[in-house]
Amino acid sequence: MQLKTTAASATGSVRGALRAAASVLLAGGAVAAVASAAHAADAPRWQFDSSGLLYGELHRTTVVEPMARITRVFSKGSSLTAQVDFDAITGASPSGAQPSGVVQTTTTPSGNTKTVPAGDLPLTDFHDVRGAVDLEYAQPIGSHLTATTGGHWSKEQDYRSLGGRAQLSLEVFQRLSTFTLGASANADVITPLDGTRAAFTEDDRTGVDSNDKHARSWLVGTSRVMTRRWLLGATGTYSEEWGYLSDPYKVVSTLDPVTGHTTGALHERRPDRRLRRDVLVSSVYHHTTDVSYLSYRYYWDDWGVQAHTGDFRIRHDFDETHFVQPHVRFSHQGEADFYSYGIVEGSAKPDFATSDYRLGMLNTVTVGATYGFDLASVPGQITVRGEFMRQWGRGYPDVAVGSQKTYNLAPGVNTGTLMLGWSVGW
Amino acid sequence: MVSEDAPRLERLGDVWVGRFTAMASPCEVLVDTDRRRDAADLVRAARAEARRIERKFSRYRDDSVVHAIHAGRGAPFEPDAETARLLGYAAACFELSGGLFDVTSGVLRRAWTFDGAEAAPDDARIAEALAHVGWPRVEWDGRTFMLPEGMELDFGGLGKEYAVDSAAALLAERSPVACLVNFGGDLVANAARRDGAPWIVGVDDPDRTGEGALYRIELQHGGLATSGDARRYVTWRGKRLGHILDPRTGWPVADAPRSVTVLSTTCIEAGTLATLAILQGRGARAFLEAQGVTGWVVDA
Repeated sequence: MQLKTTAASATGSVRGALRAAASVLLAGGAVAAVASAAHAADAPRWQFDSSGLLYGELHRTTVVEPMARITRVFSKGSSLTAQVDFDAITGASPSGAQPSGVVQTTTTPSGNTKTVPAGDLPLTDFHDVRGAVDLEYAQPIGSHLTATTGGHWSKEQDYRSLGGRAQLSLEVFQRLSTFTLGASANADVITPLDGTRAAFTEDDRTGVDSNDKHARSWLVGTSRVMTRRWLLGATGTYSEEWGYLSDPYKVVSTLDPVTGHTTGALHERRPDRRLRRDVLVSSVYHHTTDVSYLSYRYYWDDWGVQAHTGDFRIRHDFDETHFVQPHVRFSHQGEADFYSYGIVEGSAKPDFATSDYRLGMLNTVTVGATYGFDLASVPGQITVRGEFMRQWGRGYPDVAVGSQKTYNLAPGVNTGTLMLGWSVGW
Repeated sequence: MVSEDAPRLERLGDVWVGRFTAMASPCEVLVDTDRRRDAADLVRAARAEARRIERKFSRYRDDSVVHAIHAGRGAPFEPDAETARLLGYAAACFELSGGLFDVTSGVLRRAWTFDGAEAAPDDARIAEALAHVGWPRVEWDGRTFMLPEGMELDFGGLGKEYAVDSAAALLAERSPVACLVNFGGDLVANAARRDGAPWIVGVDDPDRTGEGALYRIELQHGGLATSGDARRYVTWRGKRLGHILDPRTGWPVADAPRSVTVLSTTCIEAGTLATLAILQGRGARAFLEAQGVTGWVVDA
């Protein structure tokens, strides 16, 4: 038989004397430390993260990207984050022109020409640097709502991007569930290095220097603590883009209907609107010591592109000073309605056409791992991430004409990424 | 192989749980953070504090302060500041309990074996033990302590609760992260959790230890301690006698509750109030009510 006794209003004499004795025992300082701890949780603090990323495609692109981010958490739980990125990109990217039985000459963004041997995939050389700044401010409103606003600016030689975003997150049901609503807008300007070329022409200038591109998007998300160990989340986004959505440097080959040899290259043409949607379902599961992350994303847009992406990571902590996190990712993307392997001379010209491999059928497999460790001589934690990615498309499509049939029109690409990061809080 | 230096850490929901053994009890520290390394630092600090206090005040170790006092065989002893504070607290407990809470009563326990068997208490043995019991026989002026030869000091009834408070305060000084420090069921929460939710503490049914909680207590911050132990008793003339001994008679306290759990600002205060309540026997509940204490009493 048990019974709970409830605190009466009067404090008994023994208890009062005992509390005095206890506070002497705990040396005053210790008790004060316990009492003040609730407030100490609100103490302002700093967090600094930085990384250097090296990305390479064999015989193609090399990207060097240092990043630094600093976060200030203020006493009332609000925080301000500033991030600075710098990329240096050097290399070559497929221009969209098809391999051919004849030697081909292509023009680079800066106006130089490049000649590739017969059968090779024409690539366009480029070199660019990009600087980006991102600011974000988060502010709790009451005990269940958090508002986040942010903005970014980035600049490279031929591209400038400016954007803003806002997000509200609400925690309900004893904080077991979270609902998120977000919106963002982007205003970009594309200034091709050698002027803008007219669509479906070899080299006609439009006389327009800069081209506008706009975007806005909406986000709805929810997450729920399913069990003590399992968190499940779902997010949907809807975005609209309009303006100059073509790539100024990509071309579509014209093909001889019999031989399949390229006869020329026309600047590509894409619709000036695009509606994009995606749904992401993610799960975080805490095993006894390991944590696994599993997610699936379905993407579809009104250009006819559909994509499925699965991602799995598992973090294993050897002890509190080092961990390893293997990572594997699969993605399959279907081609856009107007994706073209070349326009056959004499056939009706389509409304839109692109041979940009990023809008073609594309399979991607990524395998990698992150290793995090401490150095006794350095505060904070160091992480090293290595990733290998294999990407391939439809190399021998049914629609290939003549000599095209003998070439792999979408040769696989292997890339490697090495990232070194350092994080410290104080 | 688990190295001595790495406390066992487990992720449970949004807290890290560190486990270790100290003071012959399973100990647990819940750390309200996502950062494993921060949790490990705090768990290691709590473990170090528990083991420091165990080492210093254990009756069973020959390098403890208690051993040094006993080895002095009645010689004057000048304790360090922490030991002096603990002796001061013991003196206060004796005064406030009217002699029921006595840190010199440990000798009595040797006259009893609480193994559940039918006991025939040996009156002569109890009388002999009682001759070596009694806080008024010690000399303590706040600086010099003298324990007559043959008497023994036992901080067993205070040490664990003191270690809980001391470790929790130490962690609060080290980090703003909220922790729940639990040494063998005596515990303290040193701060409210970061999402404002309370710590949920389950109190076992003494008859079914580990099988499920008798109560669920929501704790924002403060201490919780339980006195009484269902597994330690003797039967005498068909009556079940608990292991709480009245130092004035040498006999187990009559009609003592099986266990008393008390919620208070600190663990040591909660633990002392719980012990004082049990020492009141049938009056345990009335005592808690008179003191304005929130407590849970499980009757025998």
